[in-house]
Amino acid sequence: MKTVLRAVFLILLGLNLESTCSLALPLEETSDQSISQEEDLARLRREKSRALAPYAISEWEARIQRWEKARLPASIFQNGWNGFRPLIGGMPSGSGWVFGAGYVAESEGETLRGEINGRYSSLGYTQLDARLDLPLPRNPLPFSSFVSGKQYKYTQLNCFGLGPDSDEEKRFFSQKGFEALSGLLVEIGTSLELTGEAGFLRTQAGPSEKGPPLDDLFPDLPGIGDGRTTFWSWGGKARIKAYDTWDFPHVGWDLIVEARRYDDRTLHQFSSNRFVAQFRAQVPLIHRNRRLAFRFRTVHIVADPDQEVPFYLMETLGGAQSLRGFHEYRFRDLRNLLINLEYRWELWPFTDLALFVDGGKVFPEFSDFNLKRLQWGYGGGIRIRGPGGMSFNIDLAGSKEGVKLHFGSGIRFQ
Amino acid sequence: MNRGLSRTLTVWFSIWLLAPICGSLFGQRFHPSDPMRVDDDRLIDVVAEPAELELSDMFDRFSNMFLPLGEPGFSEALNVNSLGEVPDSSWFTNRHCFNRMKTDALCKGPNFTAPPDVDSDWMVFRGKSQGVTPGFHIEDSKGDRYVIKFDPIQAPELATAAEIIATRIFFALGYNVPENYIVYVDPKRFKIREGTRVTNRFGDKVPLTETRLRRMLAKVHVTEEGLMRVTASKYIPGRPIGPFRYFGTRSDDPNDVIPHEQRRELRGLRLFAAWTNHDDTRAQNTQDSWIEEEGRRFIRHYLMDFGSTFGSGSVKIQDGYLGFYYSIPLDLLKENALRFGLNTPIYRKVDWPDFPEFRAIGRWESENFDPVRWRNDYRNAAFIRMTAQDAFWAARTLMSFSSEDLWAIVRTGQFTRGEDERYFYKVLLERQRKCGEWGVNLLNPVDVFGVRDSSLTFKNLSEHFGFTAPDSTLYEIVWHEFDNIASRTVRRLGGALQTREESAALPPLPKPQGGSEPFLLAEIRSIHPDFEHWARPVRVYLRPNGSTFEIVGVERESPLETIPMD
Repeated sequence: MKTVLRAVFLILLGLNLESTCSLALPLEETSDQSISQEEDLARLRREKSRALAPYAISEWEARIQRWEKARLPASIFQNGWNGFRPLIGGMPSGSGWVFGAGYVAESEGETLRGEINGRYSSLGYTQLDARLDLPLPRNPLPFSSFVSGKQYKYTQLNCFGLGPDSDEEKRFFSQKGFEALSGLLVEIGTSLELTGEAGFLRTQAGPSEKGPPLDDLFPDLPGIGDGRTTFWSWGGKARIKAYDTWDFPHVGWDLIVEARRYDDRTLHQFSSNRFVAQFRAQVPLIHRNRRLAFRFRTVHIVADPDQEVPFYLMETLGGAQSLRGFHEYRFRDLRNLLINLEYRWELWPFTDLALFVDGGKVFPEFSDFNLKRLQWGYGGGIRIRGPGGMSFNIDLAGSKEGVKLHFGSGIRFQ
Repeated sequence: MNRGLSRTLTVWFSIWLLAPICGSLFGQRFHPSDPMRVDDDRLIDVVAEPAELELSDMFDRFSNMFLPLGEPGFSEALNVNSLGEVPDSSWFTNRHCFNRMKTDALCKGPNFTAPPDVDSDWMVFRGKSQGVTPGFHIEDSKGDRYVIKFDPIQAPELATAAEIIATRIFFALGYNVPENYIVYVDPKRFKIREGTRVTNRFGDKVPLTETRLRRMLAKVHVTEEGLMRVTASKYIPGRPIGPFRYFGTRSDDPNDVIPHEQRRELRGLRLFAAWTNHDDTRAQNTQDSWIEEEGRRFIRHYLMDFGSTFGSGSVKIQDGYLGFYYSIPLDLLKENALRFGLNTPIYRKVDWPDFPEFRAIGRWESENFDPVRWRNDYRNAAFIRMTAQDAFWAARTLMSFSSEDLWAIVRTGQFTRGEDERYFYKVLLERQRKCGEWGVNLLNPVDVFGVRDSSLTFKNLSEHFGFTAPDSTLYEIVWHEFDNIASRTVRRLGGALQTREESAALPPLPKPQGGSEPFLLAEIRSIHPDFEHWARPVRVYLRPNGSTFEIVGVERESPLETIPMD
């Protein structure tokens, strides 16, 4: 491998390194043994002094240095030109290729950061979003807060119907709306985080230009064709964590419990409560270079009496963040259960390879909350961790419904 | 450095080595100026201001990793004198090894002036705000300029102690290093000079304001007394002109005629760096300075930035794999890719100090340390050319520190906890022993030659440092008459002497032939059951000096091969 890299590097440089250390003084004569070492060195120095050349880096090194100083791509994607920057991504999974532009600004003391962005996807989705952080995440203070807003129109979201036995064939719907959310996170000691959030959601699901209307296919699907409605939502989250952060990657576990209320203030049909529990662990197998990563997650949404839960508020399984061998949004229902198990081994300290198994199911009644009739997926992937907590993943996953390739940022589950 | 010049030097060195074998084919072997104690690399006045060199960090890393830098071919180091020693130069000054420094001098190190005045304001005129810890350039009330560096907030004392201790060690070893001080300062002392700009985390230059400054300082640990512990690194004298590379020469420096990769002090630096875990031995952490002293202008070469030494990674606790692998560890990738994690790299097996208890120490240990397998950040062109002779020189040099010396130096790190101090010292001592034992035992370990009371005296360094049992070595000494003018051995003087004494009586003085006084040559072989290669002779040349002799040359026979570092 080293030989190949060396060859590539030599070719890239056009064998241009010589100029970095050239003396331009062709001295071929043999040293004279009749003079001392001291005299010989003096002779060499005198000869060199008559043929000095400017000392500089090669043209190739200068080019690389200019690129380095430009801090590409960080300067483009983080700060842009005077705050204006291009964007890639930032829409829900399965949105296609997403491009956009935005503006970001930060207070001089790094206490306040604001950004506003516009995005467009290759599937025709549009999104305008803004966010304010006070103070910035990763600040030394024990709290952080945010306010965010998003206006969006997604034109061909997937829906496969409800329940564990939904058909594999893709159907589409559109969703547009506006949502605003604010939150406050407080850290208590090193092992407890409490988060409170409150927000506003105005949304409407409708037919997609692609494929037949959902209400024709699934006439009983709650929330389709019911027009626009408005939710007030609020809730809280507690996270208990016990990670060993002195070594890298971190090992340990965390437990998250979350409750959120959706209050339908327009149609008065869709008020519900959502409960989430999640346990994650990353455990070294004797040494930290090989680890088992585990996640158990379950979501339960309970409608108020005489109310329903609209399908677009139901959490789905399938895709890069859950059942990786299935399409995004493949399974949808009031409740779900997800288990991920990964064996990760270190390629080098900033890159892991992984083999994984995913299991999960959706179900309507709490009585089905068990490990029977799980959908299974399996596969392998690579996790690359960059500086500053950035990370990148590639997963190749299979299931009874075929093979899926996922690219993404962020560790799948720590 | 062009190939012609390097070839010239290689030929010169080869002639010197081969002279006793080839005899009168060549000229005089030793000259009155031998051994050359000082390499006058200030000889030519560097009149024109040299260009300031700025390297690309990425290019430097990748070119060193993947390109064959430096002269092709291979030779022993070219800048050694007839004793195999490194003469004093603008690169290196023989200090503790030859002229034992007193404890206070060791502790003082390069600090010949004073730290910044903590009772007056420090004017910040340059800084960086990106990264996890800030850094500033300041000017104190006396007008002296310093680079101010801080500890990582989660590991107080880690980087500052490492920087100070390493500075003392590398100075005593012989390198040029900046004056570095640990200073406790009130954060209110930091003031902003008008017009100062800092690089923010996006890489943009923005004005340094009071708000920004306080925000940056909020990332620094403050003691119970409200003070910040910092390293104040004084600007080096002269005009900085950028780093030196570990290969080639500066084409605008007439005095720089020996390719850097062929300098023994740079090759031997590998062992010193292994001892101190100075993994960041890259060009970027060196500095050349254009200096005027005594009416002569020349370039002096410095080692800088010792924050990534011992268990410190400058801005964090050192990553475990550094020191065991290059920062781009291709061999590790290859090893791990297809083994599904069933193998465990050595750095994952290490029982590192407990954190946070030993956070001031970081990842610093000796049990798994192996000086041969130790790796710095990249394939340093000088390090990969280290030979057994370079390693022997380095091992002997680093063993010049006694345990008392090292304890005194460790204490300059000003650890708050005694446990930290003791642990640091214990590991330093154990790693020194490993480095010393490996390097000294690589060659026939007789050294420290002298003439006393009509006897040639020497020391077996392996026995002297306790690497082998005392008096376990038998020495076989053969005397020759040596014709220095013809550069050849004239005749053998008597039979082989076998002794366990570290001395041998000089043979009867041969009568002068042809007007010149004959030299003596002693061939010393060491016979030891555990080290067969010690039987390779060390040749000691003695020059007549009045009624007695003086040592003029030492030649160690060893295979010409590098210590692998792939």
